[in-house]
Amino acid sequence: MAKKADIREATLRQLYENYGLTTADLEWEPSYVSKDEVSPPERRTRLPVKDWSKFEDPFRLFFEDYVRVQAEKETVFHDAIRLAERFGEARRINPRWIAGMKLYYPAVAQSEAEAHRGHLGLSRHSPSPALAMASFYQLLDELRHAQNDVHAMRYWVRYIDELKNWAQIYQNFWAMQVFRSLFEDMATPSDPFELVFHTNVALEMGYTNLLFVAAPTPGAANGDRVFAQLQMSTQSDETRHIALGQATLRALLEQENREELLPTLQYWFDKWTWRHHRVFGVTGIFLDYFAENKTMSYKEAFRKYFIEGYIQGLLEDFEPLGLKPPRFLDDIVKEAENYQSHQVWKLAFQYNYLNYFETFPPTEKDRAWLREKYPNWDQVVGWYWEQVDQGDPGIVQGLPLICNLCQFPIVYNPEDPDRPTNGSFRLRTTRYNGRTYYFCSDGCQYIFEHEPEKYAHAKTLTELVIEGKVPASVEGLREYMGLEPGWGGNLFEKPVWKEWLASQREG
Amino acid sequence: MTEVRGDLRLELMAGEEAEAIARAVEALNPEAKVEEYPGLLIIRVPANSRMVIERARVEEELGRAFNLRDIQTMLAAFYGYWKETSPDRWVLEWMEK
Amino acid sequence: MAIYVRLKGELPPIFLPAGPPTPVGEALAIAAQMWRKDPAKARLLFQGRPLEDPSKPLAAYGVGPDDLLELEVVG
Repeated sequence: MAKKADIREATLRQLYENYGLTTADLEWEPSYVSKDEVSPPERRTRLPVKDWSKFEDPFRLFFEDYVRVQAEKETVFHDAIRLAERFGEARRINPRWIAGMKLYYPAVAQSEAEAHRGHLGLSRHSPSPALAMASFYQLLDELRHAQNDVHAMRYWVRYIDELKNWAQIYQNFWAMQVFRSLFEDMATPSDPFELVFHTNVALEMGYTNLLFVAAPTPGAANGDRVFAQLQMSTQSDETRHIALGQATLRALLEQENREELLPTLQYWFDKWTWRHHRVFGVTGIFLDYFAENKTMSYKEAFRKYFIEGYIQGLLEDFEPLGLKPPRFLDDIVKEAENYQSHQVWKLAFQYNYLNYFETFPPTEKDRAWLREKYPNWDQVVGWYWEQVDQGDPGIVQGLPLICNLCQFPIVYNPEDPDRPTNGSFRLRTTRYNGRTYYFCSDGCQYIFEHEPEKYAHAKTLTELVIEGKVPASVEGLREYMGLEPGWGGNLFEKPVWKEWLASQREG
Repeated sequence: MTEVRGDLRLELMAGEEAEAIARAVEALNPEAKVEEYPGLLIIRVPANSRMVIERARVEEELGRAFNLRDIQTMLAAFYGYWKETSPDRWVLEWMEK
Repeated sequence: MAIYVRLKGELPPIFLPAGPPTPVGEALAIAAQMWRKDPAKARLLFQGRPLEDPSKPLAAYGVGPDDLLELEVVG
């Protein structure tokens, strides 16, 4: 036995040293069909990359190892769900957290499916065999993530109703358009390397530690260990994706002709840092509002994972090679550290009659924590919750102005980070082909003006209602979005919350 | 922006293997720091240093055979670049200037 | 093509079902109702200027089909 193990080790060591034997050396020049038939030019990169040998996968994974390691992860995750089911864990989870999970799962499940689609394309058409191999493992990973997210929803549907319509909700729900817009933009990159930028670099290096490491900690603190385990399991795959992103960025920026590549790479870096901030900043409401037992604030997680863990490291290594800080970084920092989570939570409450997940006013205990973590909280949004306390229902009756790029109702204002709602406000518009487009920010406007043909055809939900393509009544809109009576609203006014409070007093 | 390069960092899902890996790193790098969080073990070494995980040491700490590839089943996050991921040794460091 | 109105001190701006030919008084009534304000105690502004004559169309104050108005409570 020992001898077999030794031989196996020696073989693996040799293969590790000579990884090219199983990647680059298996490539061949087609002779029965043209190169263009194998890989149409529109699917290949337009970047004038000269040296493909610079692309190397840091993990140099073999399929046998991949299967073994992934099977182990699957076992751990499915055991965790089985255990949770057996011991009825879902019944002991804080309904505030469950409300958040209703919002979270459909968005994340679909995001993984779109990432899978994207990497199908890259793996198939990558000019670098090492990149193709790593991308192939990634597309399998993303499929696993999507399936596990849906499997988790199947687990949840035994205890709550709302996720049974998750696919229709993902398609039509007002807030899901934010995620759809992002993921569909990602699944249709202009270039295979844009895909690597927006997924492996900007999203996976930039945000997944926040999403899958920071966000699960309040999950565990509020009783949801299935969520914590699922996300950590997902994140273990992300580490490989991150390594691929790093390796690709280095290979591109270490090209001799990098000056030719830089304008395109810089635009992708600017665009995707902005788009991901706008969307994944929504994670803030899980840390700052949904969770009753809080771990860290979005501001803290953002600083730790995004600024220190990602931006600083990236710039230190790649600024000398010509990459500049993301164009809208100052706005990103102002928003994330002052008001992003607060504006999103307020917006979700203002439209709680159109939601399928519950929201609620922050309690006194919540507010004390929020004031400590965000010293300007009262100025930013506390005034609004005081009005709600005094009997103002706080809801908005009417169709919001929605950003034509990111699909967010316009509630952002980096020019006045202390008073985003009631400070100075500047409406940003662009006219293109006879139509006026509205934007929430300089970042979204910049992207639209760079690639108007990509974004010009889409209509926001408000525009669709105005045109009569979507029902205008509350009932009609709820039905269109897949919502059933009783879903959504203010959690603190619902029986499930009163039952929870009673059970906590007894326990 | 002015940066102070952050520590090299490994975030592992807590468990006996994670602890064995932490001790193996500490054995080779006296500057290593290990922090415990719910469900997570974080191993740090200074930015200008390197984090080396030697299979032989992990196996010694764990008391059984261990395939370094299995780190991937418990790796939640890392900060640094993987210089080596061979069957015998994994090395994490920042880019050489 | 749509006119939006913002309650002063609030966001998001909301779609106002009115156009440049709509009389100011009618537009004010619609906007006030959206936030349950008394139109007698409110007024509309465009680019900081109050729209004072309720019988004049919005267009008379230069309001175009894609512009943003403000609703201000005064009473």
